[in-house]
Amino acid sequence: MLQSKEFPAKREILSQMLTEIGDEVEKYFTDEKWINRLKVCAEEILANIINYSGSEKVYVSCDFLEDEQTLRFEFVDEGALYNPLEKAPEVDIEAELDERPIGGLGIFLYTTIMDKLEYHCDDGRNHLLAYKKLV
Amino acid sequence: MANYVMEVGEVSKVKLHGHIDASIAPALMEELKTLIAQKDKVKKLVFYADKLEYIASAGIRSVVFAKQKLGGKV
Amino acid sequence: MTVTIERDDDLKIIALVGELKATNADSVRDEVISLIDKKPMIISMEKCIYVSSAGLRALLMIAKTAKMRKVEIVYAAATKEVTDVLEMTGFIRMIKCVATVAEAEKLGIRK
Repeated sequence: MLQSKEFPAKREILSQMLTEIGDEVEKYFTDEKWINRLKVCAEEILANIINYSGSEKVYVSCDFLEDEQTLRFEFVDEGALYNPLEKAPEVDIEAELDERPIGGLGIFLYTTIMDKLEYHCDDGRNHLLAYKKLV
Repeated sequence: MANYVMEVGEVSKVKLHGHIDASIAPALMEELKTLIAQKDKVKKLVFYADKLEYIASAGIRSVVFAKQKLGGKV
Repeated sequence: MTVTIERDDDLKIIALVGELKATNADSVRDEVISLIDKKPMIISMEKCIYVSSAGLRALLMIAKTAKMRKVEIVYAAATKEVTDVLEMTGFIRMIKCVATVAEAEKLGIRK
């Protein structure tokens, strides 16, 4: 379990964050496909915080909700107050290469992979929660 | 030197210009952070956007960040 | 990640070796784009063990650039996990993806 583990919100630290998150995921998920999908989600969320939020630190939590058999992540940052779940750009996955915009892919990915996402703002900090039930 | 932050003082000035996409936003953020580090000086912050052609949401986030960190009185 | 040129005659085969993460996606993208010339290209994903969403953006930019320059480009031999993410985002329909480099070579030589 990771409990509000603090990391500097820097690109050089991203690998380490993902390794620790990966270790947690592998405690519960055995399917390589899902382990990969969850890492991709975590990477996208963390990369956005590092690149765009302005936050110096990020706090990562990961715990397993027994009753719901669900893995819960929480990402907390102190950057610009920003809800990534609001008005995500439409991603047309049927579109041709020319029409396909580059942006919006990341959010599309993690909203597709995770069962549930929640955002709230507490004490001036962004809190993003992501849930995935065991498969 | 600084590409966006033009003046730091009681009235600080930031010029948003050109094409600010997701890859450029971190550079804007860095400049704004140096401004925020001197927030005690700043009473007013003006953003000039007449030469701004494009700004991605990542760029807007930097602007919002500056506003939030400088505090309600600015 | 390393970008290696495995073949460069009537066809160009470029192998992506390692992980395509948020931290290297842009530079890998730029490096591959700099290798686009007039020959049909095959991007071998055999040793590409991880593709993040930043990586997907890079692959997309590479494909778009090739298309703009009228260069044929095929992605080959993506692993199960990478294919999974390509399918989920609809990539698999947008850019030509085949199962093996050999298949891609056959496509290229026919041109």
